[in-house]
Amino acid sequence: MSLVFRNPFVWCVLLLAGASGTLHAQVMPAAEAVQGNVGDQVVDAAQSIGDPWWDDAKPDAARELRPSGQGQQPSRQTQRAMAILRRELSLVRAACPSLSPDARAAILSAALEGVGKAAATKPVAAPAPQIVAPGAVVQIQAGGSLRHPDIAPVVEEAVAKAVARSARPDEAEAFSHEVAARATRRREAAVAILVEAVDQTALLDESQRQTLARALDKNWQPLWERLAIQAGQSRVTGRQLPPGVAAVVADVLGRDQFNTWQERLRRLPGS
Amino acid sequence: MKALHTITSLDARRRHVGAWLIALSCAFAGRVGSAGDDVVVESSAAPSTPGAAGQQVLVGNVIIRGDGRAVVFGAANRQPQYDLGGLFDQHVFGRLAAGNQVFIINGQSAPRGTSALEQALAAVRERCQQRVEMLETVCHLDASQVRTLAMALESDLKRVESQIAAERERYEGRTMPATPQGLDRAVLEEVRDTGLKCRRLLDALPGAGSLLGSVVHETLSPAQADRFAAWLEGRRACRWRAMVKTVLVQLDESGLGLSSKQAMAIEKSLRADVPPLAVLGDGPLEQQARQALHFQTILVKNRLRLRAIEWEHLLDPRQHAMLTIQIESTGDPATVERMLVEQGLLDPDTRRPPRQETP
Repeated sequence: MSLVFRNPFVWCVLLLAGASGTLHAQVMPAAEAVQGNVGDQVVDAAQSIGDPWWDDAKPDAARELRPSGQGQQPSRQTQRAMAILRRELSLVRAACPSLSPDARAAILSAALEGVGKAAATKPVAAPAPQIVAPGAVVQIQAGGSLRHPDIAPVVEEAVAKAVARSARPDEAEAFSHEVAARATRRREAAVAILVEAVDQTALLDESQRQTLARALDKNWQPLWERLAIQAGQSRVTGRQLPPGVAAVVADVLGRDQFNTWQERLRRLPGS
Repeated sequence: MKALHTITSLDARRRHVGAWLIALSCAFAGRVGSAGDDVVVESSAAPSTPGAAGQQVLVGNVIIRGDGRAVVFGAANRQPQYDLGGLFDQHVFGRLAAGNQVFIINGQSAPRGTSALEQALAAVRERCQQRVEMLETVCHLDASQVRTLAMALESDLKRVESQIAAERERYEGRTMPATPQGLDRAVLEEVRDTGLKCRRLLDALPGAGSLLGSVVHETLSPAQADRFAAWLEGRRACRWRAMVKTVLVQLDESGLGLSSKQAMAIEKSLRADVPPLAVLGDGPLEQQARQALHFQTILVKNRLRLRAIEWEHLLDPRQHAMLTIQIESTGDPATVERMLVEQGLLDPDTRRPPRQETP
């Protein structure tokens, strides 16, 4: 099986499949074209890192999370946790390219423990909110919705602690810097999405766009980060702003322009 | 033999094909021309919803219409007929067409046409008025300029209304047998082409071909035109910035693991050249948020591919292979750009100077 993962194309496909969290059928034809045994790949995609740089440092890692039954599908929660882990390890590799094999093996071991912990979290019954916390998964079921607790912080924390413990200080600092930079990118993307959403209908001038961006950044709410991560699934418009944004916009526009904007939104088709 | 076909109102061509399928399935079902006169039109309990308005389902000898009514037929003496006026309305107005009835069974037809035209014109009027309001706000138009634009808008609306009404008259009340023997494909195509031509008249307002579009250029002072052009550029840059940042976050989330240096280099490369985004807010994609999002992602990935030479050396082979899979899945770059123009996401006229000065 490791030979499969030495082919960068194969693990790229599997990495993408795993990152989707659900291994949708649309990804599978690509994997199938590369390797015929799709069933094994599905299981492996959720249980291996898919990157020889990591897998070779700890060859038995894939077996640690293998379900007891032969051919048994890993849970959706495990797949989701593994997708987050792959994302985090990818960042570790980019930030610390000189990590020793021993350090990699130690980080991978600790990270897999985090995955096991994250995968063991139980969903709780909850109404599906319009915007959920970063990393949370909402599962709609007959008779109500089940909300999985946000598992991303569990995996992220496990990786961050493992890097701090096992990497050299300069490597750990580099990783910490990259994690912070990524958070900034998400935040900037969310602010850009919100400014553009308001600009669609509020007819802002350039100075107002910049002022609004600064005001949103100043009044930042962690919930808004989800806008950037989920931006591929729903488009934010002036009529569907997340909680807290309208108040910031009102401050920037002033009462008259804000009311004019609200009136314009009411006149839009479909209002 | 049971037949089940669905006509959706997603676009006119699909409706046309769907109508053909229904006609053919009527013939294959062996219901048309059978004995008896048990033609029944009854109301079903299903509520009429906007989403279902353009849908008709044929099950055996029952047509379930988009407005929730079931039409049961099995009569020999009444063949299903194409209602050419209804078909024309569907091509022009889409789901605004009342009942969306393509077929007449037993000579009955839902009232339609005038109200759909009125609704369509009201939507176009609102869209054009928003354009005038946009110009008024951004360019600080005076009262006489606003009046001029309002008059041009009224003129455009009257022209379009009379043109569509004249075309409608040609088909109003006309029917054609929906059987292989009575079907005239050329007539159906003519109705479709005329309907789509009228649809384009509505969609073109307040575009460059309209009186309002041309009067705008003559009405604005050079300073106002420059101001408007600069404002559009700012709006375009704002949208492009959001699109680029969003797609980069999504790529990162998919496991790319970009370092800050890599992310900055890619973003810089992409944002250096703002594409000619259509940002006036009245494009066909504006009302379809999910589709707009999909095409925006395709656009960024396409631009990423076109500018790959500027960033590919920054990635390691693992990241490069992964990104290549994602951006190449969008298809041939030139074809993608053409498709995005057709979808209304890109406006190829954007590069044109906003105002032609006369000496």
